[in-house]
Amino acid sequence: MTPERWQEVKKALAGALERTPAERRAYLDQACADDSLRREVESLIAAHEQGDSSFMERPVAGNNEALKPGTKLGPYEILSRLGAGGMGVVYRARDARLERDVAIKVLPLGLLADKATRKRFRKEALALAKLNHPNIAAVYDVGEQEGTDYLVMECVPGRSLAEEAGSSSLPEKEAVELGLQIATALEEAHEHGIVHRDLKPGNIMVTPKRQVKVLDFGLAKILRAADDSYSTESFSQARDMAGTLPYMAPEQLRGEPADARTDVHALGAVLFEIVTGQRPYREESVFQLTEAILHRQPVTPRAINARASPELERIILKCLEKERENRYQSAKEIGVDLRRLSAPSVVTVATAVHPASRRRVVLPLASALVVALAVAAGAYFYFHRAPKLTEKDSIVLADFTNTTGDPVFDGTLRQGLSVQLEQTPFLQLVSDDQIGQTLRLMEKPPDTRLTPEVAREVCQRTNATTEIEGSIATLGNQYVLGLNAVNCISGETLAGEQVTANGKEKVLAALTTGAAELRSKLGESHASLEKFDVPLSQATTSSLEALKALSSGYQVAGTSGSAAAIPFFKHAIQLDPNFAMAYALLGRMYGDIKETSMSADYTRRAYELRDRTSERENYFIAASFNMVVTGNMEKAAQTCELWAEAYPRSADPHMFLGGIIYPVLGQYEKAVDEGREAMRLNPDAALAYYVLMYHYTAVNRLDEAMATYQQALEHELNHPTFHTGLYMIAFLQNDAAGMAQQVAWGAGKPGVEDVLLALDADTAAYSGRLSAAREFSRQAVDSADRADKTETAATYSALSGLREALFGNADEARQRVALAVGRTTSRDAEYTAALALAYAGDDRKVQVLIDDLDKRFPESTIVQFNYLPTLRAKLAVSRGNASEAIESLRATAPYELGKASGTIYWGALYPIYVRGEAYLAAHQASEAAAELQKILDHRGIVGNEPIGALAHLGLGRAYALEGDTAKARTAYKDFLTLWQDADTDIPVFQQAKAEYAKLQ
Amino acid sequence: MCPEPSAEISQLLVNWGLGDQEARDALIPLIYGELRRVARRHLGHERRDHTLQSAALVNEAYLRMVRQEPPQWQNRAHFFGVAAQMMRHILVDHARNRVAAKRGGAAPRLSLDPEIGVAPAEKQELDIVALDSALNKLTALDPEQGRLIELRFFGGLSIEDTAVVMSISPATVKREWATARAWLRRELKRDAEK
Repeated sequence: MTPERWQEVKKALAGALERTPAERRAYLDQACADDSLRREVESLIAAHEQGDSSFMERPVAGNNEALKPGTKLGPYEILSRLGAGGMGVVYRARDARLERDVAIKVLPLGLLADKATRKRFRKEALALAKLNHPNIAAVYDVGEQEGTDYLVMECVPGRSLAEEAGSSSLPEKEAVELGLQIATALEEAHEHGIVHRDLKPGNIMVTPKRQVKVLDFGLAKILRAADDSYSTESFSQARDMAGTLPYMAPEQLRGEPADARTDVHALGAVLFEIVTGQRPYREESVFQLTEAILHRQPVTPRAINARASPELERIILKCLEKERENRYQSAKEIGVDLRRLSAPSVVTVATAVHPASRRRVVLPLASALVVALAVAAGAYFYFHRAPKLTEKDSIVLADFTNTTGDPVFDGTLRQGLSVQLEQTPFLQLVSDDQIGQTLRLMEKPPDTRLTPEVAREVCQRTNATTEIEGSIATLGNQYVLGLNAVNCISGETLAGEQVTANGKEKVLAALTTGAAELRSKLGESHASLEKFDVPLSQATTSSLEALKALSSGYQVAGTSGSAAAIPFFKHAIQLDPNFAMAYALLGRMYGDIKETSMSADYTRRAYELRDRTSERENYFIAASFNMVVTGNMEKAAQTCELWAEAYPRSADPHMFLGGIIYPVLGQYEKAVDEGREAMRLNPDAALAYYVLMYHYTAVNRLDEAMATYQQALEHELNHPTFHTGLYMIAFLQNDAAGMAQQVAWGAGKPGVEDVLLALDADTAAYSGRLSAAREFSRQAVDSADRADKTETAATYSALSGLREALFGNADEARQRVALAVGRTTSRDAEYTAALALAYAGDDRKVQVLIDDLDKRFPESTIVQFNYLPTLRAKLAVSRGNASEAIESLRATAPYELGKASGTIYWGALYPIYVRGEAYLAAHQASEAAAELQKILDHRGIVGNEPIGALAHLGLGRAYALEGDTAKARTAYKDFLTLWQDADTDIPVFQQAKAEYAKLQ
Repeated sequence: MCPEPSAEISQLLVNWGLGDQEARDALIPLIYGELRRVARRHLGHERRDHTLQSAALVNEAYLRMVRQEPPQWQNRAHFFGVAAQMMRHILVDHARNRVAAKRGGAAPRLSLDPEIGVAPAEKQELDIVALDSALNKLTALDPEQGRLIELRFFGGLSIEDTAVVMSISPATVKREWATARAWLRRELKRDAEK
C-alpha cells in the first residue's frame, strides 16, 4: 500500500466506522470508487469487528493526571476535583440525563487488572447500590472508560465530621444525635449484610441541615477484594486492616474477618472523639497505637470531658470493648441506648447549634502525627501491592523503637534485621559507613541513634528510597515486633509486618519470620525467598546478647577502627561459641592490623562453622578463608567473583579483590579497577579510597593517587592508612617535607605511629643512612609492641635484619632476625627472616624455615609462587648454582610483581632482585641488567625498600660485566649519588665505591 | 552534588515550550535515561499487570522530573510526546530481551511475568514486538498517525491531550485512532497467521 492509498482507505474506513453496521453497506457503495478500495476497507472493518474489543484499549502506559473539567466519563461530565484518598480521586461531576451532580470516584489505574476482577467489583458495587437510606450516601453506578474505572455516588453537600469537628468536642445532645444517625445507617447496611469496615470521621458527612451521610460503605472490602488478585498466599494480618488505624477494631488488627460489631467499635471511637475532642488512643506510632487498640483500655471520656454524661460514657466504652462479645451486638442496640438518652427535642436543639459558635482547638501535634501515620498505614493497606521495591532501591534501617525496657534489644534487632535483609541480593542496605558519613554531614555524631526521623533524613540524603522502621514492645509475656517499610520521600508505607514472640528467646526467630514476610511484601520472589532463607538464629546466633556484642563491634569498627572492635567480637564469641560471623569478623579485624596468625586462626574457626551462615556471610567467610588461611588467592579471587555476581551491589568482594587478592597476584591495574568499583558501590567506605590510592601509587599514577585522596577528603573520610599512602607518594616524589609531615601526623598514635616509623626507617636506609634507619626501626618495633601488635613488631625486626644482610652486616642481621623468629609464626615475618638469613649466609636455618613455610602453607599463592622459589634461588646462588636459581624462579613468573598484601610496602620484587643476582652470578650480564632495570621501572611497587636503591648498584655491576663502562659508570654514579650521605661503614657502600673506582 | 536530573529536565521543558529546539534535543537522552531507570524498577520485579507498571512508570518518571516546578501544560504535552517515544523503545527493548533470554521458549507477551514465565493461555495478551513492527509499517504509510498511536498507546495520553500535543481536534484524534487500530489489528492478525 502506498501512503496515498492509505489516505483514501483511511477516509472511507473512518466514515464506515462512524456508522452503524447497518448503514455501512450503503455508505461504502457511495464512498468507494473502486472495488479494490472497497475490499481493503471491508477487510479492515472485519478486523475491527472480529478481534478482542479491548485491543489497545488500555494504553500500555498511562497517567493518573487529574481529569480536567469537561472530561466525559460515560454520561458524566467532570466538574471539579473534590479530593483524593487511598482509593482514588473523587470528582464532582454532572449527570446530564438526570440533571444532578454526582460524586465520581476514579479508581487507581490498574486496580481492576483483569476482566474477572472488574466483574467482581461491579457485582459488589451494584450490591452497594441497593442500599437506600437517608443516612447512607448512595452508590448510583459503576463504569469504565478507556481503562479508567469509576464509581458514581451521591454527591453530599456539607463537610465531613473530620473537617468540621477538628479536635473540639460537640455538645452531648448533638453528639448523641449524630451518633444515632450513624447507628441507623449502620443498622440498615448490616441488615443487607454489608459491613462498612472503614468508618471514621472522614467518611461521615454532615449536611448543612445536620443530616448524616455515611460514605464509602463496604468499599474497603470490595476494593481490597479487587486487590486480592495480587497475592495468593503468605499474606498476613494486613489483609483485613482496611480501616484507618485509629478507628480500627482489635479484630481487624489481628487480621480476623470484620463483622457488624467491628463497625460498632468504630462508632464507639467516633463517638469518643466527638464527645471528648480526642481519639480514644493517642499513641503516636503505628505500632504503639496498634498495641493500645489491642490491649489497652481507653481513658474514660468523662476524664477528658467532665460534662459528658455517665450513660453516654457507658455506651461509648461498651462499643470500645476489646472482645466483640462484650460490645453491643448490633448497631440497632446502640440506637436503642442512644435514643433513650436523647430527648425528643434533640434534633431541633442540635440544628440550632451553630458550628461557628464552637470553640476550636488547635490539633495537638501528637495527634497530627497519629493522623499522618494512620494515613500512611491506611495507604499501605490499600496499596500494599503497588509500590514495591526493586533492585535499584536502597534501604536505610532505623534503630528499633524499644519500649520493652530491656536494653538487650538495642542495636541487636537492627543488626539481626540487617543480616536477614542483606542475605538476599534483592535488597541493598545503605552501609553503616555511608550512614556514618551522612550523619556527619547532618552535623550529628556518627553514633547518633537512628530514630525514624533521623533515618528518614539519612535515607533521603543517601538517595535511598526506603526506610525500615522497627519496634519491639512487650505484651504480657509476649514480645511484639513491628516492621514498617516507608518510602522516605513520600512517607508512604510500602509494607508492614507484625510478629509476636512467646518469650525473649523466640524474638530472633520472630524477627526472621517478620523479615521474610517483609521481603515478600516488598516484592521479592518466592524463588529468591526460598533460596536465601537461612533463619537468623541459625545464620547468625541464637543469643541475643551475642548479637548485641556483634552489632556493637560493627559500630565500633566503623567509628574507631578495627583494633578497637576486637574486644566486642571476642565477647560475642564468649556468649555464643558457635557464632560463625563473629569469628569471621575477628579474623578480618586482625587481618586489618596485620596480625596474620590471629587472623588465620579466627578465620579458620569461622570456616568450620560456615554451615551456620547466610549466603552472603558464607561468601565473606569463604573468601577470607582463602585469603588468610590457605592463602590461595586464585580460589579467593574466584569466590569473590561469584560473590560480586550474586550480590552485585556489595562493595565487599571488590574491596577484597582490590585490597588483598590482586596485589598478591601482582595485578595492580586490576586492583585499581576493583578499588574503583568498590568506591562506586560504597562511596563512603574509606577503605575503598585507600585501596585505590595505594594501587594508583603502585602503578606510578601518583596524580590519580593524590586525586583519590582529595576525593576521600571531599567525602569527609579519613583513615590512618591514607597517611601511609601519602607518605609513599611523598617518597616517590622525593618530598622530604611531605614525608616528615606524615610521620609527625602519626606521632603518638598507637597502632599508626609504628607504620610510619618503619617507613621512615626504610627511607633512611634507602639513602644509606643506616644508623638512622636502625633507630627508626627500633622505635617502630617499640611502638608496635606498645600497641600490642606483636606480629608486626616481629616483622619490623625481620625487615631491619634483611636490610642489614643486604648491606653486608651479617651479624647485625642475625641478631635482629633472632628477635623476630622467636616471637611469631607469621608467614610474612618468617619469610622476611628467612630471606635475611639467606643473605647472611645461614643456609641451614633458611632451609628449616623453607620447610616450615612449605608445610604450613601448601596452597598459599604467595608462599608457593613467590617466597619459596625466591628463598631456594637465593640458596642456590650461594651454593654457586646460578642456573638452578634461575630455574627455581621460573615459578614466580606470573606473580613476580606481587606482594604479601596491598596494604604494606614490604616484600615486593625480591624474586626479580634475586633473579638479577643469579644472572650476574651466571655472567649473563644483559639478562641481569634487564631484571634490575625492572625494579627501577616499578618504583611504585618497590617503594623505599632497600633493593630499590641496591638495584642501581646491581645494574652498574651488570653493565660492567657486559663491558659497557659508560652505562656502568652512570648506574654506579646513580647509586653513589643516592648514597651521598650514607654511613661510610656499610660494607656494600665500600664495595660500591671500590668497584666504581676501578671503572675510572 | 550533581543536580537532580528532574531539575534539569524541568528547565529544558520550559525552554522547549519557549521555542528552544535545542532544549528538545537535549531532553531526549535525559528523559530516556530517567524512564529507563524507572522502567528497570518496574519491569524487573513486578507482577503480571504490565499495564499498571508501565503507567506507574511514566507517571513516576514524569512526576519525579517535574515535581519541583510544574511547567505549563504545553510543556507537559511536549514531554509526553517524547516520553511516549521513549516508553515505546523501553518496552519493546524489554520484550525483545525477554525473547533473547528465553531463546527457544514461548513468544514474548507483554504481560509475561519474569518470575513465572508464560502467562496463562486464556489471557490473550498483546505481542509488543509485533505491535512495534506493525506500528513501524503504519508510520511509514502515515507518520502522523504513527505518532498519534505512540502518544495514545505508549504515552497514555487521553484523546484530549493527544489533540493538544498534535494540534488537531479531538474528533480527528478519535477518527485516526479508530482507523489505525483497525489497520494494526489486521496487520497483527496477518502476522500471526504467517
